[in-house]
Amino acid sequence: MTLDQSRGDLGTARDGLAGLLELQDISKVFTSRHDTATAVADVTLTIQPGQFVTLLGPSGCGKTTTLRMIAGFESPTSGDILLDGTSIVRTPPNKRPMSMVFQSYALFPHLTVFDNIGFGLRVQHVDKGERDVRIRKAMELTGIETFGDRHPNELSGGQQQRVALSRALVMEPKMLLFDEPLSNLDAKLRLRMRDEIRAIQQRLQITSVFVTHDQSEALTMSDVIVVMNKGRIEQVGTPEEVYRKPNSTFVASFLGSANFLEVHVVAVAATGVAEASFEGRLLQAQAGPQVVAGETATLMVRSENLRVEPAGSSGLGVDGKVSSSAFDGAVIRYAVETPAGILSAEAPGTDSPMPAGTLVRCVFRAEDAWLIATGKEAA
Amino acid sequence: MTQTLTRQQPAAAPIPTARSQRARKDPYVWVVLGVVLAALLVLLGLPVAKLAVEAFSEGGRAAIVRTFSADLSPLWNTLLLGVLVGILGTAVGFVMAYVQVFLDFPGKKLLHALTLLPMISPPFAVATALITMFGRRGIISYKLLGFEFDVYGLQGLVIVIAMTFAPLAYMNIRGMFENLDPSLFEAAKALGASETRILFRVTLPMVVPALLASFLILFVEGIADLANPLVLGGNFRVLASQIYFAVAGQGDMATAAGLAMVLLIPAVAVFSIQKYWANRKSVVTVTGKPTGVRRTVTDPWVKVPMLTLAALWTILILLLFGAIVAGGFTNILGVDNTFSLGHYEFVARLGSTAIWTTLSMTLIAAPIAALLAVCVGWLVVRQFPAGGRFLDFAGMLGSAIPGTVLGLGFALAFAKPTWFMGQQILPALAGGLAVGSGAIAIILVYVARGIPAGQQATIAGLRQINPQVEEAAVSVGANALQTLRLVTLPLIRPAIVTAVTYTLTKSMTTITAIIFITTPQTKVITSQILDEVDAGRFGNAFAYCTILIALVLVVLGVTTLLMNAIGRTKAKTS
Repeated sequence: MTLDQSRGDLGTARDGLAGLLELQDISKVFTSRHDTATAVADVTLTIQPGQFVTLLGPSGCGKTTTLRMIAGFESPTSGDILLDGTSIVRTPPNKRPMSMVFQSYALFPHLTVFDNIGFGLRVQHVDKGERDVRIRKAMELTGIETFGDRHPNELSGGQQQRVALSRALVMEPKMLLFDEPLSNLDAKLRLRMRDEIRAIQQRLQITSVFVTHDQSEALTMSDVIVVMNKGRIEQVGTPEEVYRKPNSTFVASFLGSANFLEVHVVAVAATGVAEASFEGRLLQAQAGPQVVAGETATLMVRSENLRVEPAGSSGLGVDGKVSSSAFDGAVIRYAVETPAGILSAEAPGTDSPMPAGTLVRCVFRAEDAWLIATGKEAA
Repeated sequence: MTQTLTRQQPAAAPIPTARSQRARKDPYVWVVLGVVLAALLVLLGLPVAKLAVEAFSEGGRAAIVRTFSADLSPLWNTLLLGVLVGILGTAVGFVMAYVQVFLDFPGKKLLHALTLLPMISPPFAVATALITMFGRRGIISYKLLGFEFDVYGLQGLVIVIAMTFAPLAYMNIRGMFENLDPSLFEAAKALGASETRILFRVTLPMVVPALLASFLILFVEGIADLANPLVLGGNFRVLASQIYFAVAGQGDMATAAGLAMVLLIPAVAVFSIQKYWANRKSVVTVTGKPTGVRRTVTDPWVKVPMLTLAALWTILILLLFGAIVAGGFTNILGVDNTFSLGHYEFVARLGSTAIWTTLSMTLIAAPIAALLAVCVGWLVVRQFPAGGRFLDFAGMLGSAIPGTVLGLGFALAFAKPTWFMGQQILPALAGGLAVGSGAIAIILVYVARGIPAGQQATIAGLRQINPQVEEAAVSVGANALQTLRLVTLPLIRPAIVTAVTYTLTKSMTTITAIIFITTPQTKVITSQILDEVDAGRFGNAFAYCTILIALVLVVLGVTTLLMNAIGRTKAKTS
């Protein structure tokens, strides 16, 4: 195979059809002698070619198990996994056109950086000339051209992760799988690697599945976020959707900081704006799915959208009393005691802070409030 | 909701079971498993089965009953010996390992070599040297210090057997020490713990599994040892020597098998208890990322006592091995100390065939044992984490079964051809009339005895490697064998070196396990030595021993060089 014939130019966007992944009702039950544990339950998900999808959730939510089933390191107890329309559930992991980047980097300590990256090509008997070219390209892509002769233990954490990424990229996989790859890096480097991974993924258009428990990683990197909890999918959506329009209080509180009010839905207009009563006062909010007039619902407002105004303000909102405040530069964060419990709210940092005990009203705009139908709260 | 729907559907759409859904295991895995199982069946299954049949014959049953009623002392002596050897050997191993890993002093490498030295010497060497130096007319005990010390019996046996096998404890514990995360000690230190406190509260508890494993190995060696009780036992009767006398003296295989079964029970029982206990308490240090550098301990309250103990033990080793070397070059050491080459002339005349035969059989057995050991370890840790326990247990039986017992089993199983369902599947392998004049059976014993050490080292090594490293290889397209060859094996090279070198030394210096299957046509050095010791010709025995030690050293040196060379080229090719 010559260079030109190989699929191998790492710089170009790939065939639009490659890398369509479908999870069909997959479950994973771990059985030991004493008990069984359901790690993943009835997960159905379609990932479009070229998409960057994040599996987000607390530890134990089944996100890593799902990723490992995609990779082939675990087999689903039931359900099917299709890649470009073909079931791969019985394909051994080394035959799946996917490469994984691990949390621990998992570099081969006895090989140089160059040989680490070239490992996959070597076991697939790619001839040396092409191998070298592809390795160099992969190294350039992650900016580690000068480290080829070093061993992994001579590299920093960030450099090691770049090697791991190059080792995955050089295979030109249909899919890249990331298992919390940034969690061993320091905060600053983590931010930089986010951007770099995203940029490389955008450039190569490789379908990617990224597992993380870090909500800000998920929000900044993804095309689609899949929020998981207790082995099930809670919500699938774009970062904006899952942040602004969570379909459960679990999703709402897992991403960002949210306030909840138990309200009674009075009316839902065709425009999607609903009226709800709280403590005898009428509030306006966006209605989420299955929100019906005459029933109770949970009204969610993000802290950054809940403004603290002096008592008697004309805005729609909830009355309360400041219990504490913290100056955080750009904003002042308040904890406000209300009939709905303690709400967290913000005011511009340019205001002068109100002392504890001050009577206030927490107000929000109708478009910033989101109604979640009751029964969709965190399980 | 999905579940409800599925339940309502007719049987036409069956719910797939876990088995049908499983991604197929790499076919290579099944091939490896098949080879390993077949090998273990021949090496351990057949001999033990034949032994059991013989042991439960009428004569065998009578012998078993006698051991537990009329004649209890061999059983009691055997257990006592095992326990004492286990304690002393493990203590010595711990001290020597601690000194080696945590202390800084000149001559560290030399101390390491001296600590290992007893392992590569034939058992009689130490026993005979002990008689010469510390016996009733011993050079040190009688001539220098002027008292009559009775070295025959329990006390002498404990020292000699513990010395011979302490190196195993040393290697085991040292390996564990080296794998401990250095940050553990930094944390203890930072929290204000003194060095003595760290020693007793951190270091010691962390290596409890290694201590237990060492105790097990030494206990089994202690109760199984045959050669030393023959030379040094005096009136102290143990099961192993009783088995020998039953076969050699009376040709009574049934009694021997009965006694062997009695010996087998405590050995396997202790082994199983330890396995279960150590598995539950094992402390695994996962090395995912490179960690800090180990500090040396400088606190004199730790350093001085540890170094003193180590020095005393080393002096004892030096005295005994000095006697072996000197004894080969003098007429009769301690009686007539004139320089003489007579013993070496004797060996050159009558022993060169034995030397050559021993060497060849060992060199055949070692790589086979190492390969099987690595395969077993790999299957256990990586491929069959659930069912692997059984395989692990089976492989370890090679050392859990006392050598005398295994040897007897081989004699019983392979003296005649093996038949299976009316077909002869194996010719006679043991005895003078067998194929290869009995050499094949001896090689098989070497292999069986060599597997456990390598298997343990492999399992320990694999557990230290983050499985993600191997998954990474699979993830970029390597199959099971490629991953094993290119990633796993290079990373557990120390374990493989252990496997090869252990088999080499164990095989060249063993007598216990092969005493019943040596033949006049297939001469083995160790049995030649026993003949000389038996006849009281200590000088000839010392000459043989010195040659054997030198031979083992040469073989070890060459092996290590070879393995390192292979390692380097492997790392380079890509």
